[in-house]
Amino acid sequence: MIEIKNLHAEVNGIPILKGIDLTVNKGEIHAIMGPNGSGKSTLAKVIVGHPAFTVTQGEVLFEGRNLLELEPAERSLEGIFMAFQYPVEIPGVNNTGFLRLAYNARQKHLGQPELSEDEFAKLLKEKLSIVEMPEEFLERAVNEGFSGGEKKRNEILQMAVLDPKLGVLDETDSGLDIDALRTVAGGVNQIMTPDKALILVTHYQRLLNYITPDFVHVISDGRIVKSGGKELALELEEKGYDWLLPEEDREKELIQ
Amino acid sequence: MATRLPIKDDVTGTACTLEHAVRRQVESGPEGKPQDPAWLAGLRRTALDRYDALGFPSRKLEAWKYIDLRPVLGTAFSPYESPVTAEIPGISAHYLADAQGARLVFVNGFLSPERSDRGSLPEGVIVTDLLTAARDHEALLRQYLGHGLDEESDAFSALNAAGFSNGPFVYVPENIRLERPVQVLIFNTGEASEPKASALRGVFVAADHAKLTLFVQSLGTPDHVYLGNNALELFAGEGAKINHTFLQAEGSRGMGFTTTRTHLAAQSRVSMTVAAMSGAVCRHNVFVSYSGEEAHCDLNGLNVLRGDTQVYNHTEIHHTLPNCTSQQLYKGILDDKSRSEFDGIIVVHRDAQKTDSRQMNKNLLLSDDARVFTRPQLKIDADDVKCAHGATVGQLDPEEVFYLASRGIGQDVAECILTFGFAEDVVQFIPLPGIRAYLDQLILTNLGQTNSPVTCFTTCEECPEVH
Repeated sequence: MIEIKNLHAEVNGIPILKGIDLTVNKGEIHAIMGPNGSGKSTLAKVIVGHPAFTVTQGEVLFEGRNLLELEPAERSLEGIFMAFQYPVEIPGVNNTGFLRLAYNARQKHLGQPELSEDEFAKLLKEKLSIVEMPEEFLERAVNEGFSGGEKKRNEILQMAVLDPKLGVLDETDSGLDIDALRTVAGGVNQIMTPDKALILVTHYQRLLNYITPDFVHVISDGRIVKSGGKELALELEEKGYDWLLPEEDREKELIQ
Repeated sequence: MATRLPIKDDVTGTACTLEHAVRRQVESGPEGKPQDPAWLAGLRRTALDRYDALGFPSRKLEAWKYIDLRPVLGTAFSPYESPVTAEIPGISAHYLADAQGARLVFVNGFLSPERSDRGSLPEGVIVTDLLTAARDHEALLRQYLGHGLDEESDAFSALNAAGFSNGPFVYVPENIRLERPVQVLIFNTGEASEPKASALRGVFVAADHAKLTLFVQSLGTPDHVYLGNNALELFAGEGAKINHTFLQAEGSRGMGFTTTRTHLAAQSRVSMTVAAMSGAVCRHNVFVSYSGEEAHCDLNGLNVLRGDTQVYNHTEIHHTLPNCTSQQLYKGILDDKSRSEFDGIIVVHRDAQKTDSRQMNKNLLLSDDARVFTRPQLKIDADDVKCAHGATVGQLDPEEVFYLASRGIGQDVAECILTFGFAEDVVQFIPLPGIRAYLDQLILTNLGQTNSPVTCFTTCEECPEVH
């Protein structure tokens, strides 16, 4: 579904990604792990086209198409969705209206009929149960005054509504208590079907207890330094990241 | 009258034609019109004395530092002579569809009975004009009209009290809850070449435990040069509720000066939203005072400006008694060469313990030439209070634009939604969908977005589907 080849990216002239190679096929769940500042979140943001990052080398193909030439909105319409680590608050814009606008933009792109307010309300009600959100959330402004957990649930609700082919979860587990984590992970599992793919960016193994990855990759200093199955995550939990880092990086960490 | 008077100095000149006409009226009585009753003539005299003591404002005064009054001083205004009976194109588009409560229309300073609609009001509710009230409800009106005039601090308001031609009088008696809005439409219309001035004074009372919902608009025709110097006095009795929305959308060359004084008795709730959308120069002074404890005031403002419109907001909230609260959110969206000022002060007096008062001014600049002056101020003389204030001036947050884009919403639409949402943050305080929908339309017009998908965010329940 997505092929990332020798991807290099920088922010403000500082290189962050230094040659990422990653292929994710339909039906697969890939976990991306790694220490702070390794480039995990950058990878997620580059996939969805965050304007702060510049790709300097390499390519990204989404269903065989050059993803990097698409605007962020086009990438979304093509079926890529990122759940933000820090979802943005949008005062004055009501959640339902926002979701319906996004939903209908995608329907239009797919040549499908757009939904009226009533039709959309029905669809939304269904999706709400996936993340166990009360209906009153829909009448509030997008993310405004939401707790950390509510914001993350709202991200998953958006994912359920937009029904992407590829979901990228950027540290969706951060700031969640154990119950909220279970709800959010349960929601993701319901959304995930064999024709979809998921990239989970996470710090901790915790999330992977609820969403089982097919592959685990460790990023360090902008490169994938180790790939393996789900057992790699457990090994990381036990040993930390140090043993995987190249010699010079370990020295750097020590100095820091 | 329509002769240009010499201007002594651009800021200290006192030879203002506005003042001239008022002085003549106070000193020799209104020309060709019925004489004021003695008490009203006396009130005008007091107001003029107060005006003389204050003098015409100059930039040396802190509250008048940024506004350029030369267009006021340099224009030879004359009073409107007679009511407009001919049809005014488009005026009915401003009537609230769900008003049904009542509507008072004033054109060029005169009550326009044929455009007004008393609706069906509960017994005891008075919706009339001041001149009629002065005759039919003298004792009642005198309790309120010109309240605190001898301490008036605003020269324009003092001048208004000395010279007002008429104005709305709305009284809701004790325990009556008027859910449907009373609409007051102030309209100025005339020729481009004949500068005119009008002054209306409005008195709005919700007696103890009464409820009043108000919508006041100050509008004018494009190109007509005029100055509307209006003053509104709001009184919320004990446990009363007033919800007041004021919209200033003056004609392109219209100048609108408004002073609103709001008085809150114990346990009353007043929620005010003052919006400005167009005009040459607008100034809105809002003064809030409390006469009892446990009262709460929301004072919100919204400016959505383009072209070279200038809007100056000056607000004073005086917490003189303990256990009262206030919340203030003023927002501005400025495009082109527009300009606005927020000069807001909250004064917590010595005995006003347990005051909880918040003030915020946020501005969005859409062009390089737009300017905002913001001065949120707190003056606290009590030691057990909660107060907060702040201000922001900036552009749309690229992170917010990206967030919407990542949901498949293109840049243009995303920017428009965010800008509209910025305004909606204030509009949502207005409880009546009809008023919100009316304002939403004006906001979208000013943002050049009447046909965009954003219209599906308008708060009107029956909002048109545009996709």
